[in-house]
This record gives sequence, C-alpha cells and structure tokens, in this order.
Amino acid sequence: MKEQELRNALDAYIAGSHMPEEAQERVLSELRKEKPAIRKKISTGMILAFALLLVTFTALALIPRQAAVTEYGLWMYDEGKLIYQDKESSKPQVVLENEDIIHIAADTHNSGVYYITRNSEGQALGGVAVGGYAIIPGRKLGSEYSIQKFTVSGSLAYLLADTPQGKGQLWRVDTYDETYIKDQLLPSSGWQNEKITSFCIVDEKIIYAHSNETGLLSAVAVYDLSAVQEPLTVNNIHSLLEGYEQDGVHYLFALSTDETPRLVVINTLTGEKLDTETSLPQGSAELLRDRNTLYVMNGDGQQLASYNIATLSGKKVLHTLTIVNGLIANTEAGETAERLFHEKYPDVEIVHRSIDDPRVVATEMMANEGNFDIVTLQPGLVMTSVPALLRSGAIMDITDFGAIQAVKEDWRDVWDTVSVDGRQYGVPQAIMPYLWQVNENVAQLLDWSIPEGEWNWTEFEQLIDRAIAYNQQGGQHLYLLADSNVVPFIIDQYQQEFVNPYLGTADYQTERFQRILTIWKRLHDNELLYPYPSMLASGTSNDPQGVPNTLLRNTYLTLGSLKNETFVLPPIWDENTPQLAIVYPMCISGNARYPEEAAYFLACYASAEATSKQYYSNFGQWLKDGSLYDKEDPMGQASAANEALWNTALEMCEAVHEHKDLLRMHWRELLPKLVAGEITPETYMEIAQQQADMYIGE
Amino acid sequence: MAGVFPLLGFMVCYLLPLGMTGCYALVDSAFDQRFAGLGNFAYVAGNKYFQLGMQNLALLGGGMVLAALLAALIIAPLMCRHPRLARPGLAVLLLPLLIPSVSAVSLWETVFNTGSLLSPASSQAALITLYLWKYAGVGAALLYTALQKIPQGVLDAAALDGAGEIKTYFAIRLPMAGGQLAGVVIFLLMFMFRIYKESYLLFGDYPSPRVYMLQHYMNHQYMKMNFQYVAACAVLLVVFALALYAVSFLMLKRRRTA
Repeated sequence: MKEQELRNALDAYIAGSHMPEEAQERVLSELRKEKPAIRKKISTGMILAFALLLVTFTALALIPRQAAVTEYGLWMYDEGKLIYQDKESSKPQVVLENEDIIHIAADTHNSGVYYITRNSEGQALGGVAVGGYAIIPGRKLGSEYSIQKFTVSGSLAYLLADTPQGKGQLWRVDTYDETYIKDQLLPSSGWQNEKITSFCIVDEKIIYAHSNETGLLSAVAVYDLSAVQEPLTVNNIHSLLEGYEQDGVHYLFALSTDETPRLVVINTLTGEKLDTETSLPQGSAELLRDRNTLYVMNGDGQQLASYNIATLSGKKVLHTLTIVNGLIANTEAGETAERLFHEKYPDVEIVHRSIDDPRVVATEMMANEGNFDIVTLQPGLVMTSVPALLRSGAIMDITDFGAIQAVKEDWRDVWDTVSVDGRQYGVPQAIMPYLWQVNENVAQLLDWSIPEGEWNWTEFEQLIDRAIAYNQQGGQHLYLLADSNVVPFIIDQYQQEFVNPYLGTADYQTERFQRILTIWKRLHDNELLYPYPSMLASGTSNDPQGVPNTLLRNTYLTLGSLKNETFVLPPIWDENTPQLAIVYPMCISGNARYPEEAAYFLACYASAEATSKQYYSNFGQWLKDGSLYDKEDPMGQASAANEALWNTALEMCEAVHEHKDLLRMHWRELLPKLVAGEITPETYMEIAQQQADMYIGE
Repeated sequence: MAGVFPLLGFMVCYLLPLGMTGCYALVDSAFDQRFAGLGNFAYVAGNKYFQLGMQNLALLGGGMVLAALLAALIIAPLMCRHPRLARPGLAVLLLPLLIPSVSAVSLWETVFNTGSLLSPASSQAALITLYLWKYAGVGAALLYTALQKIPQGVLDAAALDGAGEIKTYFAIRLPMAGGQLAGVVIFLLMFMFRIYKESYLLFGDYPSPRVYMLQHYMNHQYMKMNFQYVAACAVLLVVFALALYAVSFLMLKRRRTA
C-alpha cells in the first residue's frame, strides 16, 4: 500500500467512518510495521556507524603499508609504526613510531632501514637501526619530488620521482646531506631517464631502469652514470629486482603485467624475458629479496610467498652451509670467499644467520639442529670463554685441516689470535689490538720519553713515581692511566698468561699478581686512574670521550682511527707476556654437518685473494705481501708510524679471552674492596684462586 | 579411557624428556655423541664441585626443610587456637608464595650483603631465611588444614581425660595428621629443589662455596656446553629426589599401617 492511501485510510478510521474489515487489518498491519522514534534513531545510528567504519577502513587502507627485507629480517610499516621482524625471533618489535613515513627501503649492508617522511614541513630522509638509533642524521628532501619508490645503495639514495622537470625520473641524493654530493637527476646519456616505472641496483654497480610505457630496459653504471649498453626492449613487466648472475650475465627478477601475474627473469644482455614457471599467489604486487630468498608481497606489504633464489636460477642445491653471526655477508672479502668456495662446491648454498642471544647460540649448537656449521664468536655473544668451548668440543680443533694450513703461508704470524696452546680453533674475522694512546702534552709535563718499542711494567711503576712527584708539586693534577675496561687491562693480560680453561689451569697466587694488585692500588690511592663516570666504568666499550690531563689511555680501535695520534704498545712483564687484542674468530661448530666443507670455506675466507679484500684501514695487514691490499680507503688512514705500530702489535698479540665467569668476582667485589682498603692483596689472591678453581675445576 | 590422556601427557612431558636426558648422559659430548657408558656419571660423581653442590643441597636444603617444618608446627596450632585470626593468617602465610622472587631478592641483598664472596655465613642465612619467608607459610597452611579436620569429639574427649593443649597437640593432633604432615614434608622438599632460582638471583654465577648448589654446577656445565655432564647431573638429581620422596612416602605408609 502506498503511503498516501494508508494515511487516507487511517484518517477515515480515526474519523469513525466505516472501513472494510480487510482494510482495517491492513492499516493495523502497516501501523505495526512502523518503527518507533527510538528504533529509528538506533537504526540511523547504526547506518552512520557502518558508514564511519567504511570510511575508517578505507582511510586505513590508504595509509601506506610497506615492507623491506634485510639480510636478517623484515621491516614493515603499518599504521604509523615501523616494525622489525627478525628472522630468528617470533616477536616483531616496533622500532619507530612516525605517522609521516611514505616509503621505506632496506639498508642492504646492515639490518637497518631508510625511510622517507612527508608532512607539512616537507619531505625528509631518515634511517634507523634495529636498536632504534638513527643510522644517518636525517636530511631534508626537496618538496618538488613526488616520490614513487626509492632504494639505498652504499651511502646514496636513488629516488624514482615525478618532478616539475619530468615524470618517472631517477634522482640520486646523498643520504647524509648535500655537502659533498649534490642532489642530481641522473643524466640521460645513452638512455632515457623519464617515464621509468621500476628500477633496481645490482651489486651497487649497475642501475637497471625500466619504463612500461616505452618498454625500454636501460643499464646505467653507478660509477659515472653513463649507459652500460643500448637499452633493451622488455614489455609488460614491473617490480624489477636484482636477480642472480649466471655465466657472467646478470638476470633480473620482475613481475609480468599480464592478466595472471607471473614471475619472470630478464636476461640483461639480450632482454629475453624468461618465465620461471612459478605460479604466484593472487594479489602478488611486489618483489623483495635477501641473499637467498625471493619474497612476493601483496600491495599491503604482506608476504604472500617466498622462493629459493638458487632454485629459481636453475641451480642444483645439494645442501646448505650455514654461517652464524658471520659479519661477512655483503662484504667484498666474504663474497670473494663464497666465489672461491663455489668453484669447488657449486651445489652448496651458503646461508647466513644472525643470533643475538648467546643462550640460543649455545642451545642450538648442542642440540645439533642442523643449521650451524660456521660461527663467528663475537665477544659478548658467547656463553663462556673460547678455550672452554674448544675444550668441550663445542668448536672444532682445525689444526689438522690441510686447506686452512695451506693458506697460512701467505699470512703474517697472527695465528696466536685464534689458537690456544698451539691448537687452532678458527680464522680471524677481525683483530683489534690493544694500544695505549699517549697525551704528548702530559708526557712533556712528566718529562717522559715515549717508548718506541716494547716497555715493561717496571718502567710503568717508575712512571707512577714520576706522576706522584709531579702531582705533589700542587699544579694541575695529572692522571696516569684511563682504562675503561671492566677488568683492567693489567689483570686481563695476567689472566691471558695464567688462566687457561683449555688446559685447566689457573694461578692467582703468584708474586706477579700480588705486584699487579699493588700497582693498581697505588694508581688508585694516588688518584692516577682517570675517573670515568660509573656508567662507562661498568661498560665494555672504549672510551668514547676525551680523557683530559691523562698520560695514557687503554684502547682498541680500527687502524684508520689511529690517524696521527701517538700510541705505544702496552707494557709487558717479560718476553712471554702477550699483547692483547679483541678478536672475532670464525670457528666450525662441533656439530657441523659438513666440517670438511666448512673448513674449506674458512680456507677460502683466509685465502690471500679474499683477505686482501678486507678493509685495510679496519684490520691492517694480515698478509705478508702488503701490496695486495687496496689501501685507498676513504674512511681514514693511520700515519705510517701508527700503521707500523699496529702491524707490529698484530704479530705480538693474542685474543683476550673474556672469562665471564670470573668477571663478577674482579669487577663487582674484589677490585672495589681492594682499592677501598677493605681487603689485602693476599685476601684478593686467595678468593680469586678459590673462584678460579671452581671455574676451572667443575 | 579418561586416564589415557593424562598418562600420555605425563609420558610426553616427563618420561620422554627424562629418557632423552638419560641418553645424553651416556654419550661423551653433545658434539661427539660416542657412547661413554657410565663415564659421565663417574666424572660427575667424582668431581669436587659436584660433591660440594650435593653437600650444600643436602645440608642447606635439610636445614631449610627442618626450619620450615618447625615453623609450620608452631604456627599451625596457634592458628587453630585463634580461629578468628586463621583466615587473615592464611592469607598472610600464602602471600609470599605469590610474590615473585625477584621482588623479594633486592631486600635480602641489602640486608644480608649477599653479593659478597667474603661473607659466606650471611649468604647461607640469606638463603635459609628467604626459603622460610617464602615457603614456611605454605607448610603451616597445609598443616593447619589437616589439624582442622580432626573431629572435635576426639579433642573434647582428650580434654575430659585431662590432657593439656600441648599434650593433645603432640599425642593426638599430630599423630592423627601424620599423613598430611608427610605431605607437607614432601612439599617442602619440592620447594627446596626450587630454591636455586632464589640462590641464583641472590648470588649469581660462581657464588661463595658455602652456597654453591648442585644447580650452579649444572648451569655452569651448560654454559661450558658440557651437556653430557648436565644430563648426568639431572639423572642423579632425579634419583636423589625420588629417593627422598620414597623415604617420605614409606614413612607415611608405615605410620598409616601402624
């Protein structure tokens, strides 16, 4: 019944006119259907709420969701949060909250991520590490860029952007600022830098840019931004991504823009588009990758599928060799080692893992879960001292592996850094000798002739006398030593010689140790130890600040950081006293599935060819032939004198073995009580011996 | 059929891991995995620090359990005597069990200077008092519940016969609650084996020899990746614990028979 008819009938009824019974029923029926006012309000409210929900979801859908993959985890940006999901962890962590992020890109060298923000103040580029600290200071980007995509290679960011100058152009900007490298539109020489729809950078050397409109795939050298070859015609692709190298030819991954998206591989030499015959899930929109795996993402940055890259390349993979905490992925030395390794074992895939928790490292090594062949024992990431691990069989004795011994011929004598009692347990990944930095002004005030070679603790004691005498004159108070180590260097050096968990020996009840305690107490009593703030004193790192009015500073640095400062070797007791170094050894797990292959990889890594690719300004000269190195390192260079000193120290040093188990005893109780005069050196020695016996004798 | 799932759960969660631990105890290392017979048990049993751990566990643990039992024996009848205070008393007694050890430990650290290797006596005192604070109340609560179940008629009859409260307690109440008392002892023993957590929080790794527990030994061997020794210790610890429980159970059974 129409509304007007109903109203008429109702009026007639109210007016008392006679209505047919049927009509009355219909009127009443319609009246019953009429919603009361409150119900109307509720239903209106529900409709509004539903509409609001729709709007909200639509708005949420428009908030950029992005993803980026690094070697060790996945970065996601969702609802204003930058989230990191470590591959080894079940829990994602929110690293940064920033509503303004519009694009993210992985930091291929580390686990960090770069991001671009846009707000009313303009656009900016930032970067953050997993720990939440900034990896670059952050810089402004011109507001003229309408950025579609960006990627970072080395310290440079490449933007695919529309600007007033053109659509779909590639720009290069320095991630720090414009001081050295100005923002630059990539010059179109031999290729067309416009209407680009996707791009990628291979090996930090070649930029591949593709335009769906023109169908051209261009290759541009990063070095001089010139075209590497004539553009090739490749139609209907997007999401270009670095693929793999086969027989000297680069292959790129891409998604085809056909009706059913397919994963294709582009031959960069011929432009041939090869179907991988891989069926992709619905909604596949973007490709990401790490070293071994290709990830297919949807438009919301969610992972839909993953594929082994080696398998996609048609390579036969027999098994994997896993390197844990290696710190060599994406380094030139590491890649050279892999190449050499694959010459002998082409079917073995190398996989890198990063595990932060030493308990997980220990448990997985013992449990023999099968993903642990080579492990770099980073200080702080091991459960107990390295000699104890060698003794328990947790890491292999590699003294008798021929391949490793063969490469030693090319090396200088630095093998004490990865050996205990003549047994070799690894190859060095990093060696940083302890050196003492000298404040020449203070040396002059003390009238101290800086030793050029070795010097001893007796001379150091004379120096104490000299400093005491100087301070008694009442002028500027001078400190003799700044040592921010948790356990002082002098005790570490002693423990290196007299505490050996591999042999099961520990001796604190010696005249030398008594003398060490006396020296330390004298330094303290005469206020000759630089007073670090307590937070620093409890840390393990180097002194990050200057130490004014202090003659000597105990430190370990990279070679390049020494620059022109004055350094000396730390004092020794006699010819048997070792110099110390922080060493990262690469070892083979006692449960390695393929120990021969692992040993061969270590041999490849220690080969002259790979070692010469190490950053010289970080680690100095490990090879006998210094000419093999490329020493032109922009990160900084040491003076010739410091370089010589560093290289001397390399041959004299041993790895300092952190006896975590004895740390508390020295640091928390005995040393503070000794310097406070609450215990005598004899008591110190007695307790230390008791605890060391426990540690060694269990 | 209903009992199958608990039995299955027990086998999967307890017997299977125990069996695997037993297997690990028979190989020479987690890395070499050659059959070592009882060599690991021999090494562990002969090791000075394993013996020290066992000795401390037995002496300190025994002291803790006895002290807690004594406290329970005193507190429970007092609660029976003052029924109005029983309910709040129970809450107070059980409260420490609900407080995380980490929260309590800092107080003990301050009072007993537990960080020091130079004051082993106070370290022992810290551990025993922490155990008493945390678990003696549970023993008292359990015993109080047992005492409450004794028929009033029996106690009235004893009173009519001229037995005083103390005599009634020792001659009637405790013997009648003997079964539950043995249960209290088993609970306290169970808690004794768990005191390592508090010990570790108080003293950390490598404490003074006086508070060096068996679990320190096991933990250190784990850190050194000597899993075969951890496994051998675990097996020995299970045997030790089962023996203690068996003795308690036999005593309970004998009392019931009598």
